[in-house]
Amino acid sequence: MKKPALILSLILLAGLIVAGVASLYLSSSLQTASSHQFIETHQEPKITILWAKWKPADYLQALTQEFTHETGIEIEIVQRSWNDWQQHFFNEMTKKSQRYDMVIGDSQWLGYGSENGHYINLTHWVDEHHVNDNFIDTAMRGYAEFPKNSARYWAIPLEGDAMGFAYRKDLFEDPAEKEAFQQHFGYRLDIPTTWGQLRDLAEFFYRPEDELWGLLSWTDAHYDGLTMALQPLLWAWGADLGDRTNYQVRGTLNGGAGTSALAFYKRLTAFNNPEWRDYYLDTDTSSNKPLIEGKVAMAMVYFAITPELIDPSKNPYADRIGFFSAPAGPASRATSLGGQGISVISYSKKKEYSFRFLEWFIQQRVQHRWSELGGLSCHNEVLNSDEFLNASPMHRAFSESFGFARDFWAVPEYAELLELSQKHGSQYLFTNDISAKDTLDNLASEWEQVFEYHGYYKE
Amino acid sequence: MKHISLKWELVFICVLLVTIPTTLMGIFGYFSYQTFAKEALESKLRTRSLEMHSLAYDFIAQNERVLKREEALVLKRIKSVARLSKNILETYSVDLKPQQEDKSLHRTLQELTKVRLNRSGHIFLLDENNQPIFNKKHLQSASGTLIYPNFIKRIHKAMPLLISGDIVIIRYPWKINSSGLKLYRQTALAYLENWQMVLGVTINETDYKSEDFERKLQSELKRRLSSERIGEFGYIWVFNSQGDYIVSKDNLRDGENMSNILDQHKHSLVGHIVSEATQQPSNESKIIYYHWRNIGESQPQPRASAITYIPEWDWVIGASAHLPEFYSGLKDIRDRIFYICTIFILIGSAIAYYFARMITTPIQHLEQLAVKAAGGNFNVQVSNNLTSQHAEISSLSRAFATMIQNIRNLIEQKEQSSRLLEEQNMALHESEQKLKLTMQQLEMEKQKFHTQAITDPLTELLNRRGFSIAGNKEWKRHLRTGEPLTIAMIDIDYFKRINDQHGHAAGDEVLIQLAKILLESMRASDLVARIGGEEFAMIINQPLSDAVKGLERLRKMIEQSPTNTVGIDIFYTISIGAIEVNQQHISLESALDAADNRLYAAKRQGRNRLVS
Repeated sequence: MKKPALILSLILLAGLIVAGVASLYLSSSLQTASSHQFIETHQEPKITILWAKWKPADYLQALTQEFTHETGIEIEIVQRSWNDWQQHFFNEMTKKSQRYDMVIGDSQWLGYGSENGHYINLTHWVDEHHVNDNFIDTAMRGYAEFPKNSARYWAIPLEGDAMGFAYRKDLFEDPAEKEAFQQHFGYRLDIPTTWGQLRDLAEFFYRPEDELWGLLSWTDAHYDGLTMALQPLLWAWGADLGDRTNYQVRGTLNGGAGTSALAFYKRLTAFNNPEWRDYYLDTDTSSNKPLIEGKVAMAMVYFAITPELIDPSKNPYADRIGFFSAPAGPASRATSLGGQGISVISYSKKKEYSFRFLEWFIQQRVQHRWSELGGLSCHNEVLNSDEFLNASPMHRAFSESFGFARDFWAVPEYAELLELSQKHGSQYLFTNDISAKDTLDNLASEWEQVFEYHGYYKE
Repeated sequence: MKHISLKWELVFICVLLVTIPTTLMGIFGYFSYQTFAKEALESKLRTRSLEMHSLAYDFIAQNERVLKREEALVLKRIKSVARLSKNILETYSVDLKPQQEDKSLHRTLQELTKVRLNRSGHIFLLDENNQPIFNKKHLQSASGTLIYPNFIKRIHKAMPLLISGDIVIIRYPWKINSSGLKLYRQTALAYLENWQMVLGVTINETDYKSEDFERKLQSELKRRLSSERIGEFGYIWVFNSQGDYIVSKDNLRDGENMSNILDQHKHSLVGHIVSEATQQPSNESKIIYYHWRNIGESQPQPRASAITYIPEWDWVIGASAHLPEFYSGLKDIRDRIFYICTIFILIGSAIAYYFARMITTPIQHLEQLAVKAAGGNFNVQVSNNLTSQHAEISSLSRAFATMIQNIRNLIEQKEQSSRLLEEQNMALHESEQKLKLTMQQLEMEKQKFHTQAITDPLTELLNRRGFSIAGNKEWKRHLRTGEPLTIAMIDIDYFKRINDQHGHAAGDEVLIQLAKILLESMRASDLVARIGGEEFAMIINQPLSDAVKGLERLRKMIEQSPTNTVGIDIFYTISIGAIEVNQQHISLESALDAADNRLYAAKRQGRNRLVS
């Protein structure tokens, strides 16, 4: 065989082998060679989170700076007044707006957000990241799960919270006050264990002429303050918002217990300063303000906003502030669940950044840091640690409250229900036109109409 | 050009014959498997897609069943209310017939005005002019000026049945919403004979045909779909025609509009998928190949989906598979085929090498023997192994061995012949030497005879014959060159007297001495001979004038050189006649005659002299 023929044959052989092997290796990609490609627009690494205008939002903004430092993803916390943040959010969702990537919403929003497709279903994500193992059940059920006991999750617990009370320890421990209280009420002045004792204390310290009021109780009619304040009393007196299995309200809400609880609350609000009627959570008109000004002996608070109260740079009475959880009523002890979970908004085009933030946020070290900055973590390890319980005089009361916290209706129509309860409650508290019984009858009837209209009752 | 060895050529051809079919079989096998895998995947996706399609229709059917049941119950309810109201009101007297703007309605009528069925359902009562007695706002204004007359027409149409006592249900549009859709009411009509008025119990369909139930069904189905998995990374997705995700992987993108995702043609990828799905006939699915990136994936992944469309809900359902996952098995097959082919080729090559070696080793052996033989070494032995090989090799080996043996025999014969020839050559050589010696002797004898023939035995000078031969050569040379030539004749004076006085021996001695003096005196180129008893001739290659000088010195030397014999000095003289050859002398003889004439002249002039 001649040399050129040999070379040619070798080239031919090598070519055949290479072509064969290459075709084998390339063939799997041939299948997709003609498939449609995926070309997406790069999104600016910045996400916007909607929250209410209150102190925890400031704490979170501080925390997110550390996230930005670690990942380069900027986070802006947009704070809206409590008076309009819900409506603002609903408006945005109706428009399927991409203005916000995440929202820190009330637990009652879960039904609305999930059923209307505004929230991303995080069930798979929660399972994948073992969130249930690391966050306390109360928070998962209250801030993340919808419907109840469905094991479907729409948020990650962000800010644990519950309604409780802050008080002036110096007044409560003043021997003269103690003696006077003993003489007047026949028992020792101390932290109230019942709503009756609370009323006595409010009455005792009600001294408008001395610029001191007995109790700041929530009567805010704009968002949910009044309802959140009223709920613990209803539960404590043995009433309930309704039957959560069949959505029947009448008979549960407007019975004798409910009527008594409502009437009691109206009496309790008599020890409030009328000027504080709208004091609730907003930074500028929060329930902290009268305490900081030294004008009230006790105040209904959400524990989430109380770090300000024990900060000497912000409260001259910081060293004299104590906390207790909601007292018991004739039937039981309960308090309103506060706090919020953080949800990913469906319409956002920046979900990857949102999920990166959530992955970062649920870490134990970050939860510790969140707690240090003033947030109320719902992480098991953080919440149950001695470090947490001893870190603030508020933490024990908060931890205790979490054990008996209950929530409002968490149905998609909750906003309608809330609006009605706020309306009727406000009408009762601030007018003398209607009785407690009629108020609850009307509320029960209208709530049932809402449920009927939305198909909760079947023939 | 140098050829490669037979062994490697055979190996190469065999490897080629193994590699090409093996590679082609591997490729064919792989592509066959790939086709099979692709068809299996597409079949699986189609099946899952149609299952989901069927499941969705189960939910839709369930929704329709529930709505129909709801409607039946509602119709029964309003019919019942209408009949009950009719029965009650017909017990009243004509006097109690209500009038328009009647402020003091009967208590029963007052209660009827308050009746609400669900949210907006109510009871109405029409007077003879078809004007509502109460709930006018609900009935008339809500119906609108265009719709209300149509409603009245339907009542008139039903009047015969109503008058006969039946309860008639009519369905009529009462409102057109902002989207242009007509909203309907169901109304149970009854005729009050006592008052001759039409009573109606009406309810809005939207009050009982709630979308909530459908939404709940969809929610349940979405939950079911999102939990479905195809392989480890495959899943079910749902889009609506606007490109909104209804169900995404792990629900992480539910609600997000994905229309902004483009394909390589800068067209909306989701738009393309939706378009493909909506063009599909019902109960059929279509396979599409595309890339998609889910949250958590760094790069878009190749996927295949079987898509179907649910027009009732505007859902495009896709059963999606992650191609690398499904083709991972294909990759294993590909690698396996590659390794098997490689091993096969290597084993084939090794076997090819073995056989090539088996074939070429005997040939190489024979070649080496042939090379040795070609180099002259015929002491080669064909291995016995070769003769037991295959027929061709065995035959070739035997032939080669026979050939070598024959060559060896030939060489032996040749060597014997050579030895014989050499012996004959030796004998011949000896004969030749003897002959040569004899010839030399003969030549010497011949030379001797020739010398004797031309030489004077006494003086050993040339005799007349020798002089004639040598002289003619000089003569020819002279004629050729034209060089001057002198011829001299010398004769001993009174030689007879010497013989007589001293004897012939003395005379011979004088001749010998003179010849010796002549030889010593002449030049090498000159010629001298004894041509008679005491007569000598000389040929001198000089002009006469020069030769004369020499001849004169010769004469004088002779005169003064006596020959001593037996103790007696014998003095003698010579006479010399010399001439220079010229054109008058036509031959050597004529020139000798002329010189001889001068000699006689010298004799006559008294001897012992030179005359030229």
